[in-house]
Amino acid sequence: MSDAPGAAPAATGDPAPSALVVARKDFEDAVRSKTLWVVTALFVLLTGVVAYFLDAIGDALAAEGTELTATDFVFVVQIPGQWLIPLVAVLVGYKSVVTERESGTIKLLLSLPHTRWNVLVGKLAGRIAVVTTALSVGFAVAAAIVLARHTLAVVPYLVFVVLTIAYAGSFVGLAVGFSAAVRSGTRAVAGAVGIYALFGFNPSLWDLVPLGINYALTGEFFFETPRGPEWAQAISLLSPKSAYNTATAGFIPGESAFRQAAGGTGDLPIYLSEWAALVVLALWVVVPMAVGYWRFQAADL
Amino acid sequence: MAAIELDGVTKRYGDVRALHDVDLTVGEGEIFGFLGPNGAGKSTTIDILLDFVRPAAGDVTVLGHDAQAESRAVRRRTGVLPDGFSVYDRLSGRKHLRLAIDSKGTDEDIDDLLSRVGIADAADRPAGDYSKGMAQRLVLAMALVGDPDLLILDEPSTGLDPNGARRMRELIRAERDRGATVFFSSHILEQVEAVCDRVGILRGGELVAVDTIEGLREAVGGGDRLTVTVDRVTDGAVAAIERLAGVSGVTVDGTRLAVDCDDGAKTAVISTLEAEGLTVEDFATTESSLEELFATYTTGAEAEVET
Repeated sequence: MSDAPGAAPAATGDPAPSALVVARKDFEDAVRSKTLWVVTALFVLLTGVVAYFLDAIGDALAAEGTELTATDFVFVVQIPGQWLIPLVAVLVGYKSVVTERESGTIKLLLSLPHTRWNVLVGKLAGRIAVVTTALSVGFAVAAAIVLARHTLAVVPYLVFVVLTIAYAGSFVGLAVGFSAAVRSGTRAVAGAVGIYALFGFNPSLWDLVPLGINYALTGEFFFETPRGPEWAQAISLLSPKSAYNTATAGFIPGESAFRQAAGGTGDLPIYLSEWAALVVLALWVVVPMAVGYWRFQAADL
Repeated sequence: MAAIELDGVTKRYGDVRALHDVDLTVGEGEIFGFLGPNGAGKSTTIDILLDFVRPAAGDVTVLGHDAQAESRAVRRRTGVLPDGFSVYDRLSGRKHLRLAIDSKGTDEDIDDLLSRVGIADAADRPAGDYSKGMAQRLVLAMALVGDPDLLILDEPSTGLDPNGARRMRELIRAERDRGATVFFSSHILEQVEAVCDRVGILRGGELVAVDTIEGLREAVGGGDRLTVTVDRVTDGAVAAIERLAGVSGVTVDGTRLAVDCDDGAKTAVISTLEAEGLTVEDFATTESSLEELFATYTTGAEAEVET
C-alpha cells in the first residue's frame, strides 16, 4: 500500500533519516508535557527511597564488617521497579499515535515526506528517549546518594541501567504498537490497562498462566520447586517482567536469585538463558510494532 | 504533464458515498479551485491525493507518481495545508518550521518563511496559543518549505480576516508565477473567482462541472440583469426592448421589468423605454454572481441526481 518501510536515507537523498526527524519532534513535544515530569519525579522518588534505605543497610552491614555490593542495590531496586517501570513506560507510550490521529496533528506530520512506518519508528524512538531520560535521572540520583558514603561497582550498575531501559523499552513498544493499532483514545486507555494487568502488575495475569496450566494438569496450583518445571519457566519467561529478572540475574555478577531458586543445579537450557531473555524483550518491541503498523498502514486517517 | 490526474475515483465510508467515479485533470502551472458545499467530497479528494485515505476504485497520479505506491515521492514535492489538522500545541511556530525543513531536507530561513505569512512576531510562542487564523498561516508557511511543485490547500481562507484572505490570494498567485501548480478547495466562491484559472464543482461526491469562470457563466446562461421600475408597462415597449441587440430576455412583474442583457445594451434599454413614452422611476443592475452560478450547479445537480 505504501512506500517500502524504512527506506534507506542514502537512497532517498534525505539529510537526516525520516524516523529521526519524527523522533526529535516527538521528544521535544513530549518533554514539554507534564507526563515526563510526573514520570521522572515518580521514578526519582522511588530510586531515592531505595538508595536511602540501602544507605542505612550499608551502615548496618559495615558495623558487621561486610560491604554493600552493587548487586544488592540492583535486586532491591528491582522489586518495586519491575512494576513501577511498566507503569511509567505504558503511560509514556499509550497515547503516542492515537492522540495525533484524534487531534489531526498526524495530518501535519504525514503531509511531510514521511512514510507511516517512519512515523511509527520515530514515535517509538522518541518515547524510548523520554523513558530513558526519566530512568537515567532516577538512577543518577540513586547512584549519587549511595556513592556519598559507600561504593558502587560502576560496570554492573551500568549493565543494570541498560537492562532496565530495555525492560522499559519492551513496554513502550507494546504501548506504541497498540496506540498505532487503535482508532480512538478510549480504546488506547483500555489497551494500556490491559497491557499493565497482563504483564506489568505484580503478580501479573501472565504469571498465573503456568499455575493455571499446572492446576489443569495435576489438580495442584503451585509447583514443587519455586520456579516449577522447564515448560513453566519457558512460559513465564515470555513475559517482559520474567525476561527482565532473568536478564539481570544472568548478566550481573554476584548472587543470582533466579539460579538459586532453580536449585543451582548446573546450566539452564539456552531457551531459558539471559540471552533468550534479551530476545524476549526485543520481541515485545518488534511484534506489537509490526501489528500496530499492519493496522495503521491500512487505516484511513 | 498533468500535475494531478484522477481517473474513475470512488470512495465510500460505510454506506455513505463520498466520491463517485471522479475524473479530473489539473495541468501544471494552473491555479485550480475545487468548489463545493461542505460534505461534497472535497476533503476526501485531497486526502486521497496525499494517501491519507485509500480509494475503493480508480487511479490517482500526482506529479507523475502513483498517489498510493509512491506517496512519499509525491509529498516530497508537495506543500500541503490539510483539512482538519491541528498544530502541536506545545511546540513553537519555529519548531513547526524546523520540523518541515528537516523533513524536506532543505535549508531555508525560518524567519523569512514566517514573515511571508505574517506571523514572524509569534515565532517563539507555543502554537497552542495561536488563533485559528495564525495556525492556518503557520501551516501555510510549512507548506511553502522547499518551494514545492504543487501546493494543495484545503479551505486556505478559513479563519482569515479579509486582509489575510487577500494576502493568501497574493501568495497563491506568487507561487503560481514561480511555476507551482496550486490546487485549492473552498466553499467560499469569491475567493475562487478572484484567483482561479479553472474551477471544478463537486456535489454529492460527483464532479458536476469543470471549466473557467467565464465558461461556467456562459454554460448557465448568466449575464447581467437590469431591473427597471417604470410608471406603466406597454406591450409595445416590451417588444421594442426584446428587439434590441444584446438583450436575451425580458420578464414583467407588475411595473418592474427584469432585462437580461449584455453590459453594452443597458443604456439602449433605458432610452428605448423613454422613447416609448414610459417614465423610468428607478433602475439597478445586478451581475450574475458565482454565488448564483454555484447555486445553479449544486441545487440543479441535486434535482438531476435525485430524480
